[in-house]
Amino acid sequence: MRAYIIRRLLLLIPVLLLVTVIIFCAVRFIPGDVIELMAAETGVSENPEAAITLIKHQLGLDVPIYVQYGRWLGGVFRGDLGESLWTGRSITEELGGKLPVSIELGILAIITGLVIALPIGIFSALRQDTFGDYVGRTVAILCISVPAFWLATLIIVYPSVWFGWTPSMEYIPFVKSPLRNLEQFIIPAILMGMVMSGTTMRMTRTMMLEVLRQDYIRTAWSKGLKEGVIVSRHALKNTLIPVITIIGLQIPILVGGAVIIETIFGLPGIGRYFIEALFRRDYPVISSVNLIVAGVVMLCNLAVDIVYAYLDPRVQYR
Amino acid sequence: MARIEAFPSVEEAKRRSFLADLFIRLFREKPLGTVGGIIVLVLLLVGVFAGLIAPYGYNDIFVGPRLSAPSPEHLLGTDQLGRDLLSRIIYGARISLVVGLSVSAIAVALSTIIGITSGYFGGKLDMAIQRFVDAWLSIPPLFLILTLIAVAGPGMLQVILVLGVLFGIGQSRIVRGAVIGIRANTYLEAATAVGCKAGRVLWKHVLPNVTAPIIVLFTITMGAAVLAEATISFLGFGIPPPTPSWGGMLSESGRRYMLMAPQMALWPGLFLAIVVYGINMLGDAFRDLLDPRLRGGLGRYDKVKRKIKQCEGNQAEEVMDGKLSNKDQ
Repeated sequence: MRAYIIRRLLLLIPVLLLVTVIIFCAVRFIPGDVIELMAAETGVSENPEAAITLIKHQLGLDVPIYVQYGRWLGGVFRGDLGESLWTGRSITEELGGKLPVSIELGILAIITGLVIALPIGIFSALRQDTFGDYVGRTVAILCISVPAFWLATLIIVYPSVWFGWTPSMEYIPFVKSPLRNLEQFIIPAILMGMVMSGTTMRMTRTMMLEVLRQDYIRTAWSKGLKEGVIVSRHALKNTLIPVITIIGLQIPILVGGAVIIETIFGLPGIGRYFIEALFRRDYPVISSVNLIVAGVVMLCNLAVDIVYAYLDPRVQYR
Repeated sequence: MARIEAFPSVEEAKRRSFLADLFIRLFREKPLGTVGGIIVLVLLLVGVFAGLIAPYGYNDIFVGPRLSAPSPEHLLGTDQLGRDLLSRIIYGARISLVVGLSVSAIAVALSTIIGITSGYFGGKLDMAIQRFVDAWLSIPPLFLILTLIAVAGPGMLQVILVLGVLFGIGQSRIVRGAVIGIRANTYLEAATAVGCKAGRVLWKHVLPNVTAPIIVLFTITMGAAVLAEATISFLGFGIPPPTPSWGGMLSESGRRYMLMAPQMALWPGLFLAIVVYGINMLGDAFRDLLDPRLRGGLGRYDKVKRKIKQCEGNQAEEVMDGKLSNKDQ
């Protein structure tokens, strides 16, 4: 068990290194140089060449790309993600303030997603190809198909047109006022949860269908067990194991959803931080956010694998 | 009885091509999938004949009514520049169609190449490719898309290429899994034994046997691609105006006027949702039809239950022998 976890953690290192290379290279090829933007902003019209060289040197962009990469990576190993090119503030500190917002949003989204997905998925499987199943599957696919950004827009537009109500756009921290914080988070969380619930619901349904065809379910029937017992004790337990995996796999999508939802609802999480950095070509911020998020995603995947092996006695650590 | 018709006899199946058979089964067995198929067909027709269907051009500006409510001249009203919303939505269907089809084509081609090579040859090559795919998959897709779009610049071609590569690399896993699933089969060994070169084995023996997941992949990718294009256009990184992308119509510039003219927020998103819904429904039905794991066994759960309740006593043995699935059909 311990050896397995250590081995998996060691395997993370090359993958994370590859992530940094992909991100670092991609970011450096972004045209519309940050230097030109900055030089234009500071208004150095006479002798722009010199200004550009100066700014480049100050930001450490005047050395070859592999040296830049080495410097950045060195910083990463020391827990220093560098500074924003624009504000000069430490990215590590900035992320420290923004991560909790996104994590809270993510956890609430997973909870709402499961609350929607599991009952409908199980029901749909038990009543396969009936009217109820069609309704359930339609709901599931609608959840995946309806663009979250559109629903979010509608939630902002229509209530304000009809009732003059708009969701609060000012962030209220949880420690300050837990109730108002939750009130603010609940709509974004439901929207994100919906996207998740679609996939989870389909997975639950498919796994349930598969499990219901197994021999041990037939045995349970032949023993004369009641339907409720068969479903809850024999089928459900085996259904939920793969469902856990699908929750883990959806975390990247969840993070992507956070970008949109945080932007629309004005929540100061890492999604919005990332979008703003992209618009301003803030290289270190783009790389760092990508790296942190990729790391979180991989740790979540590892956690899912461990939980999976713990829950399913057929899976062995190797 | 309906189930017997659904499974054609061997001779009948041989006469029909694989795809024709798939669509016939879709129509017979999957009502929801059929609805999805009809939606996709309508999208196809509207996209191809947008020029004939749309009452006006997508960029024709009308001097009088800006942000006007629906009227006989402008069935869905006009936008902030006085352009006919219905015409823009109809042309938007063409954008979604082109993006959806070309992204799926690129993605499926790429994931087939990567997946088949990685899965069939295995070993160190597979190990290296898979670690790269690991890294690729652990970066959230939207982050990767936006970063790559920032590199490629805005524009339809760039969006198509970025999305195609993104989905292609990520989904190569599915093809690889399918290839590994059939790799141990003796027919591949036989092909190699009679002297087939690797290329021929891959093309003639591996590829045809992983067609099912590839078809499913194509449909799933199409829905995801249409949605992804709309999302990045919405965020302002995708297809630049005045091209009428549904996502772009909902973006920042559109949202500013939405409080004055709520129809601008409603329609593009509604059609987007319907189209993606149709594509996903179709993909789902294809997966159900093509997934071998969902066939066989005792058959449908509710029928088993009914049957078991019926046959107390003498028939019970028969049911437990698994003959039910045949008798019941």
